[in-house]
Amino acid sequence: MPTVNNWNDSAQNEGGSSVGPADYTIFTQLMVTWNFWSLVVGIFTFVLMMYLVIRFKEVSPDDPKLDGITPGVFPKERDNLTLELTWFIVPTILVLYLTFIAWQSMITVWVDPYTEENPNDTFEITIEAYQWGWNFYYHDAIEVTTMDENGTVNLTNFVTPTGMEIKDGAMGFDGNLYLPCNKLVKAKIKTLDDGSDLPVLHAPFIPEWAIKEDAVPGIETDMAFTPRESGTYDLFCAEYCGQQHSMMLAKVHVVGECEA
Amino acid sequence: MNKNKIRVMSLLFVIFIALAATPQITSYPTGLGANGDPGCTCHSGGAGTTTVIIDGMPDSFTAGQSYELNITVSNPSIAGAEISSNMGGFRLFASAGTFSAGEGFTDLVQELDNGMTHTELGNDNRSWTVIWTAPDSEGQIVEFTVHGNAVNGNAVGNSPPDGQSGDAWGTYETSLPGAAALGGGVAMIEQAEPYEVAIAAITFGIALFSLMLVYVFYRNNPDGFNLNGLTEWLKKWLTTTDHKEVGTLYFVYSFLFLLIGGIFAMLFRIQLSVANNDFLTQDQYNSFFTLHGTTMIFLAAMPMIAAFANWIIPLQIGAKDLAFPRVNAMGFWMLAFSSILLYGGVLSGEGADITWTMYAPFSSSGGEKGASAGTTLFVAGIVMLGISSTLSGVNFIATIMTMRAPGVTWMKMPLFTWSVFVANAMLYLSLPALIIGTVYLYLDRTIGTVFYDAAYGGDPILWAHLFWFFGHPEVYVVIVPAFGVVSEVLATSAKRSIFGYRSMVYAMAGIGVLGFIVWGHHMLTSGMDPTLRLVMMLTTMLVAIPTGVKIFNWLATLWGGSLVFKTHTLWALGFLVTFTMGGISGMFFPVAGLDTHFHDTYFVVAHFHYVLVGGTIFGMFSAIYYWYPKATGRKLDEKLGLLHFVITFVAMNATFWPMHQLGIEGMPRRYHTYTVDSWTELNSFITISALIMGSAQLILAWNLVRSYKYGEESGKDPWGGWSLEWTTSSPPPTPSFHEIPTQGDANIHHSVEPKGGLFSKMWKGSDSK
Repeated sequence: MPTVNNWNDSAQNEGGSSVGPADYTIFTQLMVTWNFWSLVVGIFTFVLMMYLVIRFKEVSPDDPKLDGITPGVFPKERDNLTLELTWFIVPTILVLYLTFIAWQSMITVWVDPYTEENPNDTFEITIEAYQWGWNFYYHDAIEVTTMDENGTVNLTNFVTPTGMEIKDGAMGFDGNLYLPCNKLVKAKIKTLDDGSDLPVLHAPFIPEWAIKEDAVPGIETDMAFTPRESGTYDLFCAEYCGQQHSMMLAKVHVVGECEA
Repeated sequence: MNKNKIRVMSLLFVIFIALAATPQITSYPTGLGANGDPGCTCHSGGAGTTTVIIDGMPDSFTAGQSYELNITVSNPSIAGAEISSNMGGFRLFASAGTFSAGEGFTDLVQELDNGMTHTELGNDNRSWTVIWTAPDSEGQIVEFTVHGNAVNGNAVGNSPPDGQSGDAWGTYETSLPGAAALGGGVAMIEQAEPYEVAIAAITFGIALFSLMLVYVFYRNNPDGFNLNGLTEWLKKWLTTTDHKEVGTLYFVYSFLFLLIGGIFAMLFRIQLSVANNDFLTQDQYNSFFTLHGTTMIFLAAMPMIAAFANWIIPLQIGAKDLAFPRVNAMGFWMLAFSSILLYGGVLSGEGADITWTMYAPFSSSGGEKGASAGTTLFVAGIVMLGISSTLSGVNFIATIMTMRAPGVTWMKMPLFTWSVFVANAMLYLSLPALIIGTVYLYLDRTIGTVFYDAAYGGDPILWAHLFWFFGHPEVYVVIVPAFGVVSEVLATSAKRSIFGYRSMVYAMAGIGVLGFIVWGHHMLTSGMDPTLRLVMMLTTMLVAIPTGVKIFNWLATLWGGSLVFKTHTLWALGFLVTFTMGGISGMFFPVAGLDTHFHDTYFVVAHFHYVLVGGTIFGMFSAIYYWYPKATGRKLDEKLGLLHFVITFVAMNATFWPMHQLGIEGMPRRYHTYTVDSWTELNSFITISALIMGSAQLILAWNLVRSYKYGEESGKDPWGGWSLEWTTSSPPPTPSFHEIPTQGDANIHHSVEPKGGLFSKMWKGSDSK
């Protein structure tokens, strides 16, 4: 067990900065489309509703009941096949169109597109979740050339040898995650299962890249994302994991050069 | 009252007191079930003669600061100096802050139940040093309690001096104010323990509720108001099998739990109102939101639907009662007693903290870091709820299939009956998954099976599949009857028949079928197979189509009508607005690129409150105003109803709309507190709105009680509906129809036998001759 207790770390308590996913994520691109169609559907429905409610409101209490409404009698049926087919087919087309757009995100989110072509552009890590904190293992070299603005992290020119696993807490790592810029980060996610901890579900969640995946006891899951701007971001646990679920926090520092 | 009755009553009273007291006894630090090192807790020596003191206390504490405290026990009549082993012991508790061992005392003292006690080695001392770390909030006064023993060696065989036993204890209590609580700062009111607030509120609610029952009884027959009459009256209600009376029981029960669930919601909203808040402890928060979710779904929404189904279905299809009246009553009483199991843990201070989704393997674990002890009771309660729902489900299905009056054919049934049929068919088919899942969970917790334990080959994802195979149909089970209510209310209010009756039925059936193949969208980020993810994305998107058809059919129903704005109409229109918004936000989740962000954030919370509060609850409120005259013969007050609607509608949107933004910014749900300061603003706003929304429900409660006596007389058909329930008197007789009615059909003289193929037959129907 690492001795670093993340939520006692002074860096954790300074308050997060989360304002939602970055502009370059697939999330933001999809949100534009989805917001647009939500507005179209919503405005159309509500305007139609307002019109109907105002246009067909009761004029006087003596208005006749239509369609042969009498207690105990099934009233005259009203339908209009053309209209009903219209609002069956138009939403169907819209839904299929949206599904088609959403399809591409399946590939971006879970299947990494670059690995085969550019293995050098990937950065592999393992995120290990325990009650209640994170261990980060690095399978690739990282060169940390910037310091935390607080100066609490002393990691200048630190390079891990490729292929060697560096557990957090070791060699000056402080319980936070350090990532290079413009590399596809492939994270394997697992729970701590050496018997020292109660294995339950967790989920590393980084709002900046709109990404999360459950850590499931017994299996290894994965996620992939590409940081494109340097900075410090929040990492939350998103799957309820017991008493200190809300304290299971870490910071993600994107370090190094970021020009495209 | 004869002697036998008095005996039974006193026996019941004793059992009740025992049930209430047992969890208290075991949860006290010195109680029967207190776990851990027996330390000094096992002594039963003489009381009060030992002096205990704590040294090293400051005048006031600073947040997060650590203080070294010395605990000393002394008793001049019990020798200490000449013996060297088993001299004394202590247990120290503080209402806030954390303890750790003092320097040089790491082997002598240990943490226990958030307090401090000595170890076996520590027995050999009469003073100990511990370190207390102050809590983060300085605005409170921390209470310290220390129990200390002075012991004369092993006491056995020694003859104690002065007639004393060789073991005597004493207790010392003190308090330590935080820097901010010590004058100078803002005057602080001492905080009540939130548990006490919750339990006091619930007790107060139940007391008020009992008073209300007595009042209703009194009002029914002011002359016959005596104890014998009261027991007779209670007996009638406790043993009834009449569908209307069971329906009333369901309604009263669900309304009580709607308020209790609301109390929990308001308490944890106060906790969430500002960043880094500590109004509730983590354990309290976790168990409160668990109980809120489970209460609202299983003890408020579903019984409320069962209440209206019980009341209205036999009336709408022209049946004398439900098919199995006794099974129906049994279903209700199973539900009533399951709530005792669900809440049993709270009374012991160990309420279940496993969320309403009860995700294994956390829910199947125990111990210090696992789920709390009350979880076992909770899971047993869920199994019982499953049985209760199965019983009521089979009853409604059987009734609707076999007991329809002449003229009420499948395609001439009122839409509310159709919706209850679809909902109960779904419930009946999906419940086995929940019951199997929770029985596995119960076995995991009690006899050590390993269904969900990966270390022994169990599968944690199995639970998620079982739960959501039930859970997703379940959320349609609670929304579909609201569709039925809105269909009835809008058509009646517009003085027209529903537009596209057939497509409404097919859309409901379509939702019923689709509901079973979309559960995977809850698990897109749970390590599920990628192909399944794709399939579930597509099927989930398809649910929007029948839902859209229903919404446009409702709108078309208004066309050419003459819409009268009664309170139930307002709720139905409010339903259309909020449910449409909830439906649209539902389209964000099946998309992988969006769900990896939205899953388990406040966007989800916003979405399902829009469909459950804005859908189910608004629909049920509409049903209350619509059918109350049928049940009591009197209308609810329209002015109070308007006030109730306006406040609830505005506050509901103010509560849940900002949660979308929080979700986009990435605030995870089920968080006891948050460190991002910029979220405070929206959260405070949400909390205030939630408090307003919760309080507004008291208007409805008052309206229900008041109108029972003073409401305007309604007559048979106050709103101008057509279905069979409006042909009987209000309230209806028992059995509900002395003579089975026949439903007429206004289409008979106007329709012609449809020509063409199967498609147009399906559309036009063949039963309208």
